[in-house]
Amino acid sequence: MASPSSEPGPLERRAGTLLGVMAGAALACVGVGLAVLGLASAAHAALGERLLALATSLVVLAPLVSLGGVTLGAMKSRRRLALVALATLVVTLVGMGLAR
Amino acid sequence: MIGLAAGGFGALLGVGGGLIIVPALSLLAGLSLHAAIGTSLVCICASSAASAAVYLRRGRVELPVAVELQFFSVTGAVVAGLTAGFIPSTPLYFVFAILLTVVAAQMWPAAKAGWLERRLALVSARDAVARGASVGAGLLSGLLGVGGGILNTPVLHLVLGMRFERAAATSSYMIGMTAAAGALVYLVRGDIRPGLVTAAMVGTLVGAVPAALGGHRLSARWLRLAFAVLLLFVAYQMIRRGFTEL
Repeated sequence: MASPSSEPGPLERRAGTLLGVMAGAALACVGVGLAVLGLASAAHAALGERLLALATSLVVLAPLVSLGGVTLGAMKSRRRLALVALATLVVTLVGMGLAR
Repeated sequence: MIGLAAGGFGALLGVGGGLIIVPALSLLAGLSLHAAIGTSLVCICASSAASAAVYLRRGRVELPVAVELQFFSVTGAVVAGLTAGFIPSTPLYFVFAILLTVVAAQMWPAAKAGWLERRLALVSARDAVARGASVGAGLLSGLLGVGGGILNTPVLHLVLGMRFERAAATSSYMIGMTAAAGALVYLVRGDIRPGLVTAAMVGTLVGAVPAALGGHRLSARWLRLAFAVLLLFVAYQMIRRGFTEL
């Protein structure tokens, strides 16, 4: 199953970039959210809390977005990898739906 | 501080830090176990996103292996999440404690190399063992609010023969998806309070990046030793919890 490699391929780069962008966006939301909360008026507090909630959602969705990127990137040349990634996403979403 | 420690430690060893976050938040910060597990799962996603982003772009993640094993661990996590009320947890704690102690003995730097490899070669079922262990990692994640890295890293290193640093990097990517499967359930149910999560999440994000960037400079021998100690600590915690629930 294991295959040695040292240079990142396009799929690895895509997955890494998507994870980095989501994590960076979450950090930015936290920064802005905390700054807005610091302004300390009721209207600002609601906006600040929404930004913190958005940051949490971005972090939780980051692995799914990354795996979605892998699925799309592997669709043409690495069909089996794409199918396994897609199946993982489906299982995750079905599990979430059943838990509701 | 809890988040920083968990993020740094987790990125080095390929674990999410849930084993540090859940007890610390429930024992030190006084959170309920439920809230601590939800917070922990979000922090694991954060730690994984920060460290795996670095590892992937440096070519240290075996992506095909990670994606394949992720399917099994996510399935295990979803099954555990949906059937948590029906699974008798006490025997599971003891089974996992024994399993972790055996793995810790194999990860110990002075352990006789090849003991596990010889036995696995006899049954020639490395892939099947890796897939089964991934389901176990998912079950563990669903039951305890951890990412499953404590099983992923040893499986990738001892069973599939990856170098320790590559195993930890690959596990870092895998645990994000496993934790996300559990965290989504908490998020949809409204069990995660953003204000509470923010501090720990920022800590893990900030702690994971320097550890991922500089982790390759540490000796594999020390990393294995740290991992073995961590496994023994978790095994002890599980035995204690098992006896508490008897």
